[in-house]
Amino acid sequence: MIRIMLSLLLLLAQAGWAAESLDTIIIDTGYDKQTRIAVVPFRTGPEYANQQPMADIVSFDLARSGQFAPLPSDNMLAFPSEPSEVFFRDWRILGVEYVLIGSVSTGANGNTRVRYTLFDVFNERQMSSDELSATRSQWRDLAHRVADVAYEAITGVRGAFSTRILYVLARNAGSPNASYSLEMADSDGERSRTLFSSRQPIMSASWAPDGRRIAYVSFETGRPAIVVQDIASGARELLTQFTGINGSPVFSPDGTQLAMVLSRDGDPEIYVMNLADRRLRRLTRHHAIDTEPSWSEDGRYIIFTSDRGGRPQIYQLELATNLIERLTFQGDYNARARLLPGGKHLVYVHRQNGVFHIAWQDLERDDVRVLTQTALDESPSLAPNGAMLIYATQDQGRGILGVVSIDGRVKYRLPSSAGDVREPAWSPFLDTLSGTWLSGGE
Amino acid sequence: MAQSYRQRIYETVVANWSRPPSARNGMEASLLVELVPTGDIVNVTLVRSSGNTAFDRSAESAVRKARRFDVPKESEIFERYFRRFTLLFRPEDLLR
Amino acid sequence: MSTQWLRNILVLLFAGLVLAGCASSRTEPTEPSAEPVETPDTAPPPPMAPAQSPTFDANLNPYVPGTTRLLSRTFYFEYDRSVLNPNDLAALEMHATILRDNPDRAVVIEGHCDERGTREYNLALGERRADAVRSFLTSAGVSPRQIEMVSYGEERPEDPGHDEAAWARNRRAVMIYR
Repeated sequence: MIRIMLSLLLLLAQAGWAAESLDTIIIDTGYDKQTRIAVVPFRTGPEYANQQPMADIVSFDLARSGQFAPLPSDNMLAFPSEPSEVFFRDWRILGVEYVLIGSVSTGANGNTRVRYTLFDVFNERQMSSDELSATRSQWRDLAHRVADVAYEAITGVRGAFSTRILYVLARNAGSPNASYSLEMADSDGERSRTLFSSRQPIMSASWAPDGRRIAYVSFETGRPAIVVQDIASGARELLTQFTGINGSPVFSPDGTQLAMVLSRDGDPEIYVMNLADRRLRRLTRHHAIDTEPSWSEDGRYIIFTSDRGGRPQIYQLELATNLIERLTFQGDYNARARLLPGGKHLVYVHRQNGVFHIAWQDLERDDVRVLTQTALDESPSLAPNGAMLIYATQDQGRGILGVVSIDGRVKYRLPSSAGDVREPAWSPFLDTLSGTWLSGGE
Repeated sequence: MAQSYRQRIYETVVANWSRPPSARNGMEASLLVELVPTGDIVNVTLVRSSGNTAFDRSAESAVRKARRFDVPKESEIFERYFRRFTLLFRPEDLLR
Repeated sequence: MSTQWLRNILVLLFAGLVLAGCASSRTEPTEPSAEPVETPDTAPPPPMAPAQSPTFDANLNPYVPGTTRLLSRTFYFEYDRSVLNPNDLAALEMHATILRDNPDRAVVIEGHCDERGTREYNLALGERRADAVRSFLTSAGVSPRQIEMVSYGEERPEDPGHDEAAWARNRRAVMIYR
């Protein structure tokens, strides 16, 4: 290895740029096909016969990301569950780049144990292998964790399948027996449970960075109030109920502050509340609509929607100086923006020819791309790894949730029961197996 | 003469290369590729890492998937340009 | 046109003063959200039906002065706009008169939007619509203390449909008397 490097350096030194032009072929682009992976059905004890096969959950997670094309198990030539049973040739023939195998058993303490190993077929290497253990009710948590590990090993990006989504489920809206509930489900839409329900609207749910508390707007008193709720205990606190709008609560990245919108001074303005002493600081002063705040990753900036220029556009406010800069210029309706991790890209709701889509913008190159093509797309919420986003849209007049990979390649609809599903909010990274978060009960 | 073979190698590797989502414009990984006169790939060595394991592995896979490249029959040209050559993976067209 | 309304209003002004007590003493079970109505202790129940029509119906909603037709309490808006429709000004003028004449009565003005656009932005737009009604009433002499605003944005549509007709019905401000 060292010898080769030395000889290469010598070669480069002797030939100068000519070496690059003659002996080096520069690969400046790629086709970026979906990665072909085989998630082989895990060898599973009969005590788990009633569970959804773990490999199916893992496959579906990876497929949903847009970066993987899992091989259907019908097309597999072999079903190894031990590393010694994996023959790269079998998989190479099928064009499979990675193979994930595993087995599920029950430990002495009654816990469910998963052993898994990931292989790189073309480079003929074992990449990672581990054993995970959790209570039997955490079956899906175990599967999502295996998907996270495989995703990170292959892509170099942390997996975000062991997360939860919040959303609002509305039934009979527009009638006297309307009802609203705040639901929490796995990132694939499964295992939903109700966190709060009301006869009055619920809006704008968001997560604290620790994933243990949520904030939302509830009209339960007949007027909007910002509520903070502890997920595990269900304890709720009405944080603000000023005259007028109490909206858009969003926790700061360190969890100590809550950005919000209040119209108690006459028109909607952005405020930040210090949660320790409840002191409010008003950030915007403009006789226009200022709303939909969200934080930059470092907590130094607030981005928000304002129609101070005549039409709703996205602006950025630097908290240290209160300096405001406009970020969006294409189109006459850009609203409810969220920054991607890294802070160089935005996603927001963008109106094009009268129709609302989710758009993605490169802030440095000022490049705007529309990610979704359905109508009335709104409420984009990013996975904590920035690789996918969930949004609300409509299908035949019914509110549903969609997921799109951030490159726009794969779109997927989350399953939902009756009623209008809206305003999804993707949780931060959660340690769902440790038991320090909430137990993954069913 | 050698140029058209080089062009075909370029096209084959580009068609095989799926960049991971962690790839960024400006990343660079160099691979030393060694062939036998039939064009079969006998060795692929990472000589300079991009610093991103997933990126390096995607480059290596793009070469290994090809298994062999078309090379000129003239041994002088083969020995000079194709026995050992470097592939520099340096994406310029990514979204970020 | 407007002078005729004004005359009606003046008639009503007198009738309203006389009948305010009667109307409120005729309270029937109302929406649970409505506050209990105080009965003035000096006004005995009327021995017989009043000669003139009352100002409010049993649900505390005002009549068109001099009639038993309910006064419109819902005002519609153009897409993305919060400007009052000129055709609604006469009705709003009557509401202003009724509120001026009944200073113990209050209204909640609800602001609503159609489903297009983001939810929080629509909450703000709904408030602008409610505020358009509020501004009209206060500039017509109604005390700001009688008025409260609640914007529901797009959360409580009148029509759950997803077409232009439904959207037009949902872009509205509604006055709730209490």
